[in-house]
Amino acid sequence: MIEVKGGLFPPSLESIELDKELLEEISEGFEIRLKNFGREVHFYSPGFKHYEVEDFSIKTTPKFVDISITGKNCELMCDHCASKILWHMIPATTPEDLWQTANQLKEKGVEGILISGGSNKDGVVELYPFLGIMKRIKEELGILVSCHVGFVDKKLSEGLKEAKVDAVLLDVIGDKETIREVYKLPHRSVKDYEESLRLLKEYHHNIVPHVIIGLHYGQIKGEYKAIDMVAQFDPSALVLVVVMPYYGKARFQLLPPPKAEDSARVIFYARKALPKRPVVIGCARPAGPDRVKLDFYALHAGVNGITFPAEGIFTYAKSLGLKPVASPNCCSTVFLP
Amino acid sequence: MGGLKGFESTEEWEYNGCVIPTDLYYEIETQTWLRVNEDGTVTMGLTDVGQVRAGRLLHARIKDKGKVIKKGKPVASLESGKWAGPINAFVEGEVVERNEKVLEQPDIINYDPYGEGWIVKMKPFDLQRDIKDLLYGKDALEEMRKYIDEWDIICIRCT
Repeated sequence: MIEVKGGLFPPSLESIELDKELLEEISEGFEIRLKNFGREVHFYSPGFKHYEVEDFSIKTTPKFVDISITGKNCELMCDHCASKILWHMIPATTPEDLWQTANQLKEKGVEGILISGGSNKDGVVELYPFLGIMKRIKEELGILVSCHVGFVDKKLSEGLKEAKVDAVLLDVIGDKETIREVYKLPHRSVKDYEESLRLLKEYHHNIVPHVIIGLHYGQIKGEYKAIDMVAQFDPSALVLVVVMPYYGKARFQLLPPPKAEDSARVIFYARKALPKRPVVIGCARPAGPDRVKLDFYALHAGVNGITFPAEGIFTYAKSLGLKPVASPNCCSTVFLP
Repeated sequence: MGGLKGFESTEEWEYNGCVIPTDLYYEIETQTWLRVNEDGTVTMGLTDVGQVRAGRLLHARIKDKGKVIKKGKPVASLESGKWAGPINAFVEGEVVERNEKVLEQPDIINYDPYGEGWIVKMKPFDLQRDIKDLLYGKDALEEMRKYIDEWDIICIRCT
């Protein structure tokens, strides 16, 4: 093992090349996390994926799973995912289906669900018909319910509150061109995201915004603006994910994801913008050596948690003096006790 | 339940579309296979069932040539959108060759799990000792069949 910044590098990480200057720069983030959150760091492995690396795996039946209210369908079919993220989710496309599915999951020991789905051409996930069942899932089954929404109007925000959802997740984009070109929403703007956040806070939701690093065809563009915007609305947590080109349409597949170093700068920026709110790395990010690097930098930048940590990262966290906590939940629950 | 084809043939069986070559050793839980080569080395890979359960593979990591791996420890790891896991060494031994093609394009495993999609070759230290724990022949087929039924698997090859 070799020593880097006070941590012991496990053999699986020996071959990665690190930017020492960047490590120095982002170490301020680590200090922020120590000061405001102590040494606990969360590692998540939600049930939609079997995940096993040498130093991390959770061998329980799934406790937290994803449900899509549109099945594999997404009207928007934007460039970065083309609905593929929905493919791994459990389909429940009618309220009756959702109720039946939730009951079956409860019997299997599932404790939490993410309700998500494809967007319509207006960037809205049409959740309205499902709100009543979501409330029953909460009240009668006692299952934790997170909801991944698109744009939100007053009616939906109010409905989600009545449904008593535990957390509302929303992808936030901070660049008009990205909204137009990648998300195919020329009639939408950054202001619409801001308005959705405002409406969700108006109804006192626990909001967990997501910022997708590299969403503009692998480039960093609106991420910093999105983080600034999110920070104004006192989120319960912020989830950062990295674009996965192989999920996207042909134009995306040929492009590399952002460099781990560039992503690390965004993570560090988020840590500084939200010093007292959890910042976590979500499940969506490219696999391979880049993930090792990204997770490594993320730990040094002071994140509160990482989903599906790359091999060696769990061990490395311990050597940095952190106290890893493994969880079968979705990382958006990080703020819950 | 699908039909069982080629049960008496010498080359391969097929069940629910899943190909199970007869000349390989298997570990059912991890869905990995092992072939004993004429030069005393062994080749390992993921089964047809394994590639279907994993889905399109996106990333592969294989331990470097010359590394000594203990039995049951990971010699490679694979990852798809819905699955990430190790390929454990069936035998204690040294890595003698990695499939570079799989490292470059992991979904070769999805197209041809027993051929071009092999993962690693190892030189075993005590093959006779270690191979006893693996299944072969009709025993392998029987357990594979149970596994396919239990998980309700139908094999489809990516094209």
